[in-house]
Amino acid sequence: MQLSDNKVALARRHNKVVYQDGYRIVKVFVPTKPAQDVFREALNLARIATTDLNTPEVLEVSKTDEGSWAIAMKYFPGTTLHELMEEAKGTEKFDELLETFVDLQLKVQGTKAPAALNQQSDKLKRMIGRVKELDPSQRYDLQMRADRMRHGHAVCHGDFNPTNIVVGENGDYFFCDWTHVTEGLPEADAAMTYILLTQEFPEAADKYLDLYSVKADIPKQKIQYWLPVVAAAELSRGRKAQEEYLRSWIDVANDFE
Amino acid sequence: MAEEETKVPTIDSVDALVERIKEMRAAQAEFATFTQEQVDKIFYEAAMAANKARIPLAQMAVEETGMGLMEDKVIKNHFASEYIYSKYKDMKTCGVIEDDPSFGYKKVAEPIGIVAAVIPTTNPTSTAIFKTLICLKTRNAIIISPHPRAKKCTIEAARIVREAAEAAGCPKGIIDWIPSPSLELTNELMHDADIILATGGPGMVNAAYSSGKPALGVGPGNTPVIIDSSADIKLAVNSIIHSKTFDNGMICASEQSVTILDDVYEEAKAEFKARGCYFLEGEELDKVRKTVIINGSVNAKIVGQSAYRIAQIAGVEVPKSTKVLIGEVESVDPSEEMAHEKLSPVLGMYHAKDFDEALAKAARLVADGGYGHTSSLYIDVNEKEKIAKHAHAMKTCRVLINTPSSQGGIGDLYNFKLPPSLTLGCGSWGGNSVSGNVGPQHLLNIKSVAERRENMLWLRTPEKVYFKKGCMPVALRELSQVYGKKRAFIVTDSFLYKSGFTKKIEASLDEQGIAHSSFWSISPDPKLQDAERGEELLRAFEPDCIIAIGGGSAMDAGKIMWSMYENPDEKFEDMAMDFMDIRKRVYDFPKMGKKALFVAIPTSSGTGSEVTPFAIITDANTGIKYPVTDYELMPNVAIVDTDNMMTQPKGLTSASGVDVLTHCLEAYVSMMASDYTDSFALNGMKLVFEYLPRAYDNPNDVEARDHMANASTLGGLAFANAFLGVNHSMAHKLGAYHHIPHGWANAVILQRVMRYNAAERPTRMGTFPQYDHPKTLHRYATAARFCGVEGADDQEVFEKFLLKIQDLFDHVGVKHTIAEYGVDEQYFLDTLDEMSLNAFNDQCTGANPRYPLVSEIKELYLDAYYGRPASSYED
Repeated sequence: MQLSDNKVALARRHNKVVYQDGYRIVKVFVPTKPAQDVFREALNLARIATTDLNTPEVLEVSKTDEGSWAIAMKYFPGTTLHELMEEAKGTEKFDELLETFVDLQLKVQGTKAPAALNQQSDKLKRMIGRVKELDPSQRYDLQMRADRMRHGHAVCHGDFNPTNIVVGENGDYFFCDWTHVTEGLPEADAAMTYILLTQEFPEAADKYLDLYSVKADIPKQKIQYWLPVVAAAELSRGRKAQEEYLRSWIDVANDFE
Repeated sequence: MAEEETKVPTIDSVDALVERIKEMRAAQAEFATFTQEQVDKIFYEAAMAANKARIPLAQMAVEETGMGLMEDKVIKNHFASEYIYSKYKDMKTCGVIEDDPSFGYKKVAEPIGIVAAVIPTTNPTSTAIFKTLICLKTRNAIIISPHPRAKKCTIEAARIVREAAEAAGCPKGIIDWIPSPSLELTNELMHDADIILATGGPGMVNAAYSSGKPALGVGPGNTPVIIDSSADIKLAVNSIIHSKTFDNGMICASEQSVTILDDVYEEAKAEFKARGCYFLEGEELDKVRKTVIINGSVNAKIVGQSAYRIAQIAGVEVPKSTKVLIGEVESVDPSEEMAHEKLSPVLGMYHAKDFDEALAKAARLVADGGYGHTSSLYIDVNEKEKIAKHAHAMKTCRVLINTPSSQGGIGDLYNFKLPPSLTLGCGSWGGNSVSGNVGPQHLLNIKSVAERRENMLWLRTPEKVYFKKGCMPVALRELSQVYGKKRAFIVTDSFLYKSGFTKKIEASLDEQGIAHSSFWSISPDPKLQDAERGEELLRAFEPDCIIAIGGGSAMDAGKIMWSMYENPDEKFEDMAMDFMDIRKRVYDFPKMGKKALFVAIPTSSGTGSEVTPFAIITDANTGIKYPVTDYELMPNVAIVDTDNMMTQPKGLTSASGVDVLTHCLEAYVSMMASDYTDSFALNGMKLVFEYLPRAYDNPNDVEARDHMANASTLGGLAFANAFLGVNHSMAHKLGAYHHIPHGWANAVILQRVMRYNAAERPTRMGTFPQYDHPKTLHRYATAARFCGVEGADDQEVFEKFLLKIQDLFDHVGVKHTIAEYGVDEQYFLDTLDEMSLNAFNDQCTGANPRYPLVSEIKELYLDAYYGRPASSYED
């Protein structure tokens, strides 16, 4: 894959750089990123594209000249919801945007999952199994909890946070980054969003939980039940900076008489 | 070291587990052959060994898990070995455990096979002892999946039980365990085992249930306790402290919150304080809240810790000797941390204005994570109403009164009927398959070995049957002389009334000084409306005796009026409800005879109604016929006086005479026929063959009339006990739809129905234990021989019998086809399907030896309508 000299780096993560290159968005992964992860992400995008949701169209999956895998997608012009929320902090507008955010999440979760999407519980179990730094007994408890998850049929974005929503110039919403999409339980997906929000907009996280609980008609306890599980899964992504923080969510007693 | 001694390879992979389960199956198959004596010896030795090791095992558990109190764990281990042994030592768990030879019913206990046992961290050694012991008692093999946090002590407890069991003769390898549990191994185990005995949190229990294997899963509790105004406060508070501190609050039945009624709140609080509980104030409460519960779940670090240690973790200063940390809170909503299960000596305390508010709070707390587990109440035991209200309101499988719930819930310590157990079922409320305390009975397959038995049969007759020409006036004297009756009510039809049939009765009553009144408005097909009018008169007259004189109609109407008079509040539709077995009917027929004696006097020969429990009545408004049957309807006295029958016209003599023959034949081949009813039926039919032609030819032939009167009553006695069959079912409908007189309706189809019933290969046989094979042909032949028919075999005798019946019918003018009775062909065909279905559904069908198909009934009707040659009616 060729990238032009006009490319602009939008975000740099520990395992990828996201560029805007003309009409394209290109994710360039680090050379160590396994090919199967890259193709899985592209496949997820292809699958989710079969729904009515506004999602990125994959243009190309190939290697860059430097030998890194890259995915090129069609660029969707607009502003992220995150940016809008940042601007609106402390105003009534913020609460409106938060409500929109919850509505959008419910819209995604209310979409019928395309065939062959991964199961949420399988993904969570796999991710927790990779967290070797966790005490094995604790890992066992959390894996057991994930294993008992009922098979849900909602589209669970898995990384649903305001940075992954783009608001277009005409007010259309566009959902990005489907790396972690699964078919599963909305309450577990909401637990993940809650954890993400506690970092992104700490003051809004509890409000989100209240709002989501009411709008989705799901008791908060059901969402909280999955917090330790999704926190442990999140640990597997190896983001060192968040480790201590995520661990604080995990320390609960799981399997008592 | 233990592993080497028993030479059992370690289960460290799915393959090893599968291999081990295969070996265990073989060992368990051998164990399944052990006798009760062998098993009880093993159970004894294993319980003894576990009992001896109770202290080291308790020490190990505390050391490994860092939870609970060693001394309390000793009690749990002691309980798991001693109490379980004591409770179940005499229980029969092998082979025949119950035998009732007279009912032919045995219960045989068989093991289930391989039990997968999941053991929690909170009670690791005691639960392991408990589960291995009940598996040994039931000849099951057991594989334990310990919790990783408590695996060493769990395995050690199982090892001790295993060694003792094997030393006592148990097959090798009946008890085993997964040394290093993993998600994969635990799942594989649950799939490979025959039953799962899961103790653990909701995740574990769901796992068990979703494995596809039967599971005894039990779940978490959130025990609420109420202290009522009437409670003994010292007992209540100290019991709660005693229970809440036990093993540092780790027992699932342990109190999580206490709700105290207004008027005793301060007193109770003072007692809690005086006994070393610490009331968290202001910020302290919040600190403990956030320490104990993290995001709605219990913090693993505080489970089974002492109150002091938890306060330390929370950064709250409390005396070292603090027994329980108490938070006075208001909300019972899950957002309140104190409303959760806390698995530690931390207690939420609520205030309630009255008992109802306390109940509402407790119910809400149960709903938040404690469904099905345990609840408790401290109260004066004389407050029965409140106790009942509480028990009703709590959706918990254990409701404990004035009892520390940790020690109380596990049974046999504070109540000696609640069975001891360390696995407490939470019922469907808790998503469990058991609601009681789990014991050996849950690990057995109980076979019921049931031998064929025949139903008890009976002979029911009126108290008195008087007969002989001229007996009526003599018998009637008993009304005053024996029964002391003062007021008699006579029921009859208008024809008989006008013909003076009641005069002789009235004369007798006058002579005895018995007041009397008569009712004669009965139509030939008695109507409900007639009976209702009669009943009004009955109520006004208030007789102590009812005399029904006439044919079937008058006697049936009399019975109905009698039942209405005796039980004015009963519903007619209920009385007429069909039944499959008269002794199992849903409707409980009311008692009769409280107000009046019932005397039946037949004037035709006849229906036999004077000795039967049947009455049929028609609702004139709807046309619905109500057949009412119950032995309560049987007359008390029957008076069969030939003098009343001498004036029967020829047609009535013929129709009622062939009805008698049908009664006798159907009762004789009924599935319920007995030696008793056979004697009535055989003699009855023989008399008909001999005397009906004479009575028909010469109405004044007293001897013939006499015998026909008896034949009629004999037939009644037979079918009052053996019932009738499909011939009557079909005749009832011919009467209802086409108004053919009942006796002739029976006769016009009789031989065809007999041929149908005589089939040696019927489509369906009737269902009744004593009717063991199709044998109606032989029954007919036996009846025929009794009536003088001879022949080479049953078939020949049967054919000749049919001819004999035909001769009789021809003699008394029975027509040959339904058509000949003037039934319009089109109308017959139009009503045929409905009539066939209704005949099938007739109460008489039940006793027929051949279970008829509706299509077969229809064929029989068609054959009889057109007089088609009889087909074989075999399947």
